[in-house]
Amino acid sequence: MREIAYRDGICEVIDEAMANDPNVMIMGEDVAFIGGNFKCTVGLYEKYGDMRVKDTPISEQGFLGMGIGMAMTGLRPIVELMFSDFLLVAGDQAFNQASKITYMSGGQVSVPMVIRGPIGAGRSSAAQHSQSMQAIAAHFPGMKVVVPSNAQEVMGLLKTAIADNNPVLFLEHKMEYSKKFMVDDVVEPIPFGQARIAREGKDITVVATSALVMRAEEAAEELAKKHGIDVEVIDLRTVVPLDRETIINSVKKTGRLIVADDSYEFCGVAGEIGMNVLDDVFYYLDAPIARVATPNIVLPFSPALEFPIIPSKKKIFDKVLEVMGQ
Amino acid sequence: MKLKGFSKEKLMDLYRTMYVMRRFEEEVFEFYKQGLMPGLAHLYLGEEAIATGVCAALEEDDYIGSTHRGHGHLVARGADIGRMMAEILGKATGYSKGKGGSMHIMAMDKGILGANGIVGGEIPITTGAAYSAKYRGTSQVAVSFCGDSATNEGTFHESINMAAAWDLPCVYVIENNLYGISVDIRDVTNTIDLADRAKAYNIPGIVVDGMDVIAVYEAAKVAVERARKGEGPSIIECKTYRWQGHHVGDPAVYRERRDKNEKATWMERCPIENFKKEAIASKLISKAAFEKLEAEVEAEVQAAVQFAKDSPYPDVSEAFTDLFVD
Amino acid sequence: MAELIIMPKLGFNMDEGKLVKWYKAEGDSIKKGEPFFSVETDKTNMDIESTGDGVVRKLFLEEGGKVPVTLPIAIVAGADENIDAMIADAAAQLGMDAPAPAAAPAPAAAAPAAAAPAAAPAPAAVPKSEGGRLFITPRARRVAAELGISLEEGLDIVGTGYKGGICEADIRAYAESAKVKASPLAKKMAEDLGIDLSTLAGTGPFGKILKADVEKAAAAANAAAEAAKAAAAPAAPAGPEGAGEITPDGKEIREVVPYAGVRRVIGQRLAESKFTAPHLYFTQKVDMSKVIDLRKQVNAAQDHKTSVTDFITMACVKTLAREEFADLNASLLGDKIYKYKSVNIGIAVAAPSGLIVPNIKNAQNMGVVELSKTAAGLFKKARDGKLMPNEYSGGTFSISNLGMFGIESFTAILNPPEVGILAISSTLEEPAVVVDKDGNKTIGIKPLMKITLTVDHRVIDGLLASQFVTEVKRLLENPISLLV
Repeated sequence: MREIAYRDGICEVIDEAMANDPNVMIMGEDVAFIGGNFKCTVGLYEKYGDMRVKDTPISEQGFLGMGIGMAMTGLRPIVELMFSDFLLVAGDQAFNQASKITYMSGGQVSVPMVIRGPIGAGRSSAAQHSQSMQAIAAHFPGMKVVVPSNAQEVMGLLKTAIADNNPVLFLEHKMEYSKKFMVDDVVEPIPFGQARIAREGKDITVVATSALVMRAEEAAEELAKKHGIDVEVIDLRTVVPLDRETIINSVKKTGRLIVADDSYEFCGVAGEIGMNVLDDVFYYLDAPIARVATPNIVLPFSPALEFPIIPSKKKIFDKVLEVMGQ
Repeated sequence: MKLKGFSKEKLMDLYRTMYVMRRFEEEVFEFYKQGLMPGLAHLYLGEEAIATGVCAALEEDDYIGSTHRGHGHLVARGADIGRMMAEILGKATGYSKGKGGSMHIMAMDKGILGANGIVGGEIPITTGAAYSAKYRGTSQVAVSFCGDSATNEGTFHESINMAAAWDLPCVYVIENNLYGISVDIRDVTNTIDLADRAKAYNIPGIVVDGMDVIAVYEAAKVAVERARKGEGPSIIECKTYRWQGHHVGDPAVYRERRDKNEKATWMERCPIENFKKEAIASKLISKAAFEKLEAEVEAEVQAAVQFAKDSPYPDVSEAFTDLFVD
Repeated sequence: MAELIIMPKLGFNMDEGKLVKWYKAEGDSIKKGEPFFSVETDKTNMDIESTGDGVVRKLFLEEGGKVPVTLPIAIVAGADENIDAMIADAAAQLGMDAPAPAAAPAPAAAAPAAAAPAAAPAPAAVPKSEGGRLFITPRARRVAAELGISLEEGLDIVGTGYKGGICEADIRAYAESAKVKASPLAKKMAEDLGIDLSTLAGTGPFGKILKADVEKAAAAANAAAEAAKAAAAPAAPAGPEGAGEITPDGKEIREVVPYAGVRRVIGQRLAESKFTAPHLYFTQKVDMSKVIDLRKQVNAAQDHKTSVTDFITMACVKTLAREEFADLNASLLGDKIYKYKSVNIGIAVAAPSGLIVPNIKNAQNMGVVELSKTAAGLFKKARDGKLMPNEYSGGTFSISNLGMFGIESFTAILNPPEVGILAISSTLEEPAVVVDKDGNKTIGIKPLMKITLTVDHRVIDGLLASQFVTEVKRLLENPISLLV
């Protein structure tokens, strides 16, 4: 084991992929000379040069679309969006083109492209730089959606994302970039569609995505100490493909399910997962399925407004007590 | 139309391509009128000289990006007209197994990155293919076809801006048929010649007669050579006209607003008829040679029609495949 | 379509069944109507036929094993059908602790609330929606069904789950509390002695069953068993088993026999009867000379051989069918006494597996020959162990006849929920006062028979009981009326 910052883990994986495969390249705003707005590509420009580490103009639709053309013709581009919110700027290329081309062509072509971008609120970035895109992305068929938790997961899942022959939206959590985690000396690729039981428990299942996995683990420890509630935490890893089986088996055991996800609650990932497993767990449910997600308001700027409304350890803690009837 | 200086074979090839397009689209129109075709199709009738002239300047491994009015582009690249017809009828033997239809015919084996249902949607993708060619160090060129209205899409500007900045081997061909559905380009754009937009990107912009296959070919040859030499992109605007409305079944009454004789005037400039007249008049090709060629094409088109009609519809299970590749 | 085969409930009082024999093994094909297995109920062995076609995929019970009724014992399914879920479900049912009976000892909860003064705060009750539906989770509902807990209104479970609804933990706690409470020593003793704790009423705090309660029940059961053994005397052809050993206090053992199966059920029911219903006895001596003569005439007049018992039975039937004796042709069930027009007269038979009382349905509509024929059929089935449950349940009055064994006098224990049973002793020639036609009394020899009526004194008083035995005596001494 060794210690590494979340952002450095990302850089290490991209570096390794570029070293191993000359067709892997990265493009996006500010990725080259300054090594990325969140410093995930530091040193790569110097190492691989201008063609493979490309600073783009502020043309999200244009360069994301170019990534598709590259992917269709033999490259494996990694397209960085400075904020996942900008996915909406490039929405047509992401969801009408990248996601659909394989299907529209009857399987003639694939689009092995990774779109990376940070999600999550919590740093007063306000309405247009704090959103989480997993729900809107998962809504459209044809794109895999990855929501990794800690650095080990980020690294293992990013390796798989780069190796995948389909468009993959890889969503990093902006509050975790500078945090340090323990990871394996050699991080193995983590397959998509296999959720991880981050903490075993018997009383209630909390399925979480991204950084909320860590918040759920912290809440679980506190719930065990203060209330004797044994929480099972499941790290979803990927929204698409969705590992229904792990969730269903857990809920059959515990009888209770909370889904914690940073995207908006209304028509969000949390609601979808609850509904998705409901018919399989109905007779095992000992409480209604509950959600911890971002309320459907525009994310506000002031910390006084932002912190109390966004998903957090405390929100998970309180929701567990509510669902447990305590 | 200066046919002199071209070999008889070359001229016959150009004519043959245009004539196939013409007969192909007429048969598609028949499908529509007979109720055999699901949905709609946007016909290339009247614009045959553009795709024919441009693609005559390309090598086999070059790329093109096509539009919703894409049948002509595919024929010009040598796509199998039987599989195209089958796709248009939604048959299992179509290029996309019936999943794409008229607007999404894709033939990667002919370097066709796909027709595209979104106006301007193909431009970044084609530009990406050009980046890819440069990245991989090949001499491939990518041609992005678009209509007049696509030049007002962000993708057009974003893509050409990057192609120009990075000297990408790309040629942007504007098929200016005056209308975006019913809206006259002259009513919504202050640029009289759309090729003039090239000035903004500091690249060549050429206006040619889109009804003259030779003029188109010569202009394309220059632009393609420039791209192939690594000198960067060009814009070619082809002035043209579509015989039918926006799609089959569009009565196109809007065209009489400015000039009651607009359509008739343009039809007098038919690229196929005039080419043939000129070739016979200048004794480059005999009438009998044309008749022989036309008979051959007729047999080919009828075989394609029969193939499409006789082909089976896909099994409904096909709807659930090709969302992702392995 | 996979089918879960359950231990059938083959009678009103059947709580558990013993699997006597499987006619099919796992992997065998079976067709609808083929014999599948044989069950020993509390009275008899019964063959159960398959209700569908398929393959016997799983047998949960070994031959000789017992399981409460309605629990799974086998799965019949298609050869390749996936039955994992069904096996898991069945295993869960079979693996659980003794299920709380449906009619659990739950204090009626809803009623007192209704009767309480309006001002009194309602006790912590189960929240219900406006439609009166319980707030209970799907999981809790499923677990309740598995544990056999009825979710009828008035269920006294306090919800501790989401918004105070009933969750799984509440159901499990309820099931635990509904189980028989007994001291550890009493539990151990009961287990050793083979006594079912659920049949005992505890005398300890909060009804807890103590050692003394078990001892008392054991003593009663022994006494009842002795009585039953006496009643069923000829039914003891058992060979010597476990013989020759010496008990710690020096007794040589002839044989050790398990107190189990039919024997145990009989014992339990007799003990329950004897210690629940206060028995009261009424005896008459009957001059049987005319019945003996009449029987000879009847047997000479047709092919079927009637027995003296048939005439005695007929006399009882005739009497019970009369409205003034309806109280004796009755059942005491809960807080109601059911008086019947139908006279379903039961006759105790010593069957190989123990005492059994088949009954003749609607005997009041039969003549003596028909009654005799019906009785003969039932006796044969009883001796062959082939009685159907409906042939030994539903009786309204019983007769126990030991006349053929030279018994001078005995009493019988009530067959609950019936309220009367008539014990028939042997007809013996005795010196008796003979009155001639002139009214002169001399001592002569007469065939006399003692009959002793046992009644449940909770519902039958002495006067009616006396009138009944006297009426039966009158009919037997003037038997011509039995033929009309």
